[in-house]
Amino acid sequence: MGSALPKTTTTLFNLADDILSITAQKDADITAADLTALQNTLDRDALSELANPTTFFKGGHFFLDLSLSSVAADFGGAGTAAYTDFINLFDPNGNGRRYSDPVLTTDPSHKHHLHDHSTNRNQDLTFHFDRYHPYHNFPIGAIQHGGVDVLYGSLGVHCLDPAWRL
Amino acid sequence: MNSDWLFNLGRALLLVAVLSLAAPGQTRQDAQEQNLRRKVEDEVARLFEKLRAEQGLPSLTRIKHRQSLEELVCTSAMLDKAVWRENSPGALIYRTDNPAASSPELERIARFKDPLESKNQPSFTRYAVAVWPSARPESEQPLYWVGIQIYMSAWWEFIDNNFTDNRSYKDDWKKLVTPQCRGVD
Repeated sequence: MGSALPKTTTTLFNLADDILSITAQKDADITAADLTALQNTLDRDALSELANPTTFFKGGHFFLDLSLSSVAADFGGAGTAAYTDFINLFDPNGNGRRYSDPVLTTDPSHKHHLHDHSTNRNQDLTFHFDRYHPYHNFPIGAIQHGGVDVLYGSLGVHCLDPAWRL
Repeated sequence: MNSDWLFNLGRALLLVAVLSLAAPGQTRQDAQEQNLRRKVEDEVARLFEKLRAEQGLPSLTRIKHRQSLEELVCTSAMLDKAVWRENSPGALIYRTDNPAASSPELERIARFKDPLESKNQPSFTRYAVAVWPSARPESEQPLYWVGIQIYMSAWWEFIDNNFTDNRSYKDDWKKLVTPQCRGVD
């Protein structure tokens, strides 16, 4: 892990850990070999994000992108049950998914909400953290999410996801 | 010079006349095709609901017309290729020569259950169907592209599309639509 951007590094690897952890716990057909391959892909993706200049991380949210074809290859093909379950967990054809707090992460201090979308014309998934979950404790959660993640998260400069800026 | 001008004017008038005669015919054809598509969509929806009922799964409310799905299925029909990278358990597009008959794809989506269902997640309560004839049939037999997608409730979709960070992504599906399918009905 690079130390020039410690918060960014932590956030990217927490994103990767959450994706891996959710897959391990909720993908009924996953195998240990699939998880190892996915972990390698996620680590590569996080390191590749970190190779960007600091200016790349300006703005509220930043993202860990994951190519669906890499995941399909990791799981033995797009026709496997493990891959179908994975698609169902992250919903690239719809509005993506929001995961609840506590996220199933390996970092006990992290209490943020994993959120994903499809990107690159439905070829990739892109993940980020939200500090508040709009569906929790409605309408309070929606107001907090709108104020902090959407408005405040999009203002200001340099560099961090609102989950880690505060 | 004068005769050329008159000749060109005559050609232009003839073209206008031909187009004005053809347009209502084209519109009638479009309306007939739309009626046929609606009929097939109704048949697919009936079958989808029947399959869910047979599985003892909760019924979903049908959205009669979902513009995004219409345009995505139209695009799939034009390209003869599903626009999504792959189908998912709650959203699929497939090609068939008999949309009113049960198929593995239809059976799969009819069995859809949200793996994350909980009190903290909006439930998936609605679905939509869109059908388009294939633009590249391989034989005399007509082929259709069928799209079925399952959605959260109208209330939660409104909140999600307007008051969350999904607002910036809600129109991303438009990037997948070919120009000839934009705004189709």
